[in-house]
Amino acid sequence: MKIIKDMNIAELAGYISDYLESKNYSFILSGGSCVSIYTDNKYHSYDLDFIAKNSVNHKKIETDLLEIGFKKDGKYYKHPDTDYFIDFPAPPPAVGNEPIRAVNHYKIGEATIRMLTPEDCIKDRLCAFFYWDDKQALQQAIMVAMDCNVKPEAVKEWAQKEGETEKFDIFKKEYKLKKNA
Amino acid sequence: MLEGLFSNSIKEKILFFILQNGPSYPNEIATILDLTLFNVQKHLKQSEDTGVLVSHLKGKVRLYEFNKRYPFNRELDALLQKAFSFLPDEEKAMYYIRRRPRKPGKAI
Repeated sequence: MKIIKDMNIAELAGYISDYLESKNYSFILSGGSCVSIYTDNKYHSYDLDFIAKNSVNHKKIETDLLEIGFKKDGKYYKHPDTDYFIDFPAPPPAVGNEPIRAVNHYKIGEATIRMLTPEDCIKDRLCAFFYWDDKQALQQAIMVAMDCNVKPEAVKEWAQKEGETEKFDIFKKEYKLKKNA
Repeated sequence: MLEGLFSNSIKEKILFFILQNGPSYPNEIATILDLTLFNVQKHLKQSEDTGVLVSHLKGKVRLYEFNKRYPFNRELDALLQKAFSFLPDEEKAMYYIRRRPRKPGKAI
């Protein structure tokens, strides 16, 4: 196994995901790091957002992460040998109003990242576009859809439930433009 | 009204304030509601940590608003709206601040 200093985001995510699992926590990787992993770093994220699937003792996590060199710094956990940092956004894992049920067990070498499925990753990015009008998040959703072969129709029903059909149409249109370019 | 759910009345007041006025900054909330800035900041931070609120900088001011991505945002909004409607009118008025534009120097 590589040392932390030499790990890329996927390798580090796998290392931490396995470590948390070994300590009997149940977390799912979410946010921009999933985009990085699914698009082979076309978008580069530095934060590893792990969302707890059930209640956790944050004091215990602090102690456990210290064992592998991640020290709490404000609301993040940082390691002296890497620029990547860990965040624990508030649970529950959700994409808009929908709870996240499926977990992708993504293999990276010997490690396994428990992370959003490509479809949920797209929904996660689209949430930021729907609710905060974040154009970068829209582009990220398109990148993941293209690189993971997820058609926009796969998230259409969800977008309708979120009440965001107009913005879904923008996503679909821009996806087609990129696909045909 | 929702003290039982929120543990105390300060958080309820802060959430009512943001519900009525939209994105708000700590000093404004503290001044209008006659609370200490420390208390307001403490409750805003707690609400942000639990995903209920989000914040962003506008110039040098940090504005707090409801997190539209919070999975229970719709339900919380409905609950707060209903709870707010139960307040006496004089208490409701306490939460009002002018959001309409005003030219500098214009008489009130």
